[in-house]
Amino acid sequence: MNEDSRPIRVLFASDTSGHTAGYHVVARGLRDAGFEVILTGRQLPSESASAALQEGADVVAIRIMDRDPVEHVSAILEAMRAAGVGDVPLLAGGIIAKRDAEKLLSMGVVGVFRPGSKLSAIVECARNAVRGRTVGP
Amino acid sequence: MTKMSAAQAWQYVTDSTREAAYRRQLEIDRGERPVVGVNCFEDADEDDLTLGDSVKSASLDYDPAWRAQQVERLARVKRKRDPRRFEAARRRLVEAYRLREPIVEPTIEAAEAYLSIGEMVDALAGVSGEAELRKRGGFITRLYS
Repeated sequence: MNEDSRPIRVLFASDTSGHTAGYHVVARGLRDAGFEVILTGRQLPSESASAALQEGADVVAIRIMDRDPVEHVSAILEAMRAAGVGDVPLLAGGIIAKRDAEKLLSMGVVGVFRPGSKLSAIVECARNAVRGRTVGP
Repeated sequence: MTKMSAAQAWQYVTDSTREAAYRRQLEIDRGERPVVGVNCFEDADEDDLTLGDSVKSASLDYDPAWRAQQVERLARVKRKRDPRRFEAARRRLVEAYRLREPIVEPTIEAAEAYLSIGEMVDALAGVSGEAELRKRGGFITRLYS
């Protein structure tokens, strides 16, 4: 397909302000891996969903630091479905307990990255998620 | 180094910090900078986000019923507080923010008059809008729309 003809566009949002070091490290890692990264900073779930639609994001990533991961991701997934971008893959990362990570995956999140994750793992997950979607079943 | 404006200096510090954080992460990822428990001596069974058995359930388990309890508690506080003191404190906070004066003291007074955080933030957002408030203060008015 045309997946190599333009960079993968990631919409990257965060749950609250502050503690942005990791957020920017991941953004830089994605950028250096050839992604186009749209940094929105802190957003409400509905704002991320409409930004994903307007920006034509290939993948959405969310940094979670302060909010309950399951509750927050539920709201984002619901908002994305309501905005008509429910099929755009969602990645989550941040302060997420193991058991919550499993829940997020069962809810349809394509990758969960907890503290200690490698940048290369995040890049690979985002790339595979988009590739899987582009090629289709 | 030539003289920088405050904004340039802030940008310089921000950029340097982000660059250093990125370099550090790359070193950890490549194994050049050992971090015990992260890229060496890892423990696969470790649940690193619990604080110990005694506080395990209290620290991370989110119970949706807490929200209803907290909303009820907030409503109780609002019924009991002195409405005149509330209104005076709210006005002082708004006025300080409008004049771009320090808002720490008025915020403390507002808390003492039992303004909720939501009420404080709404009052500030009423001055110049939510977008400006976000830019200036790092507040957020609503968590869900």
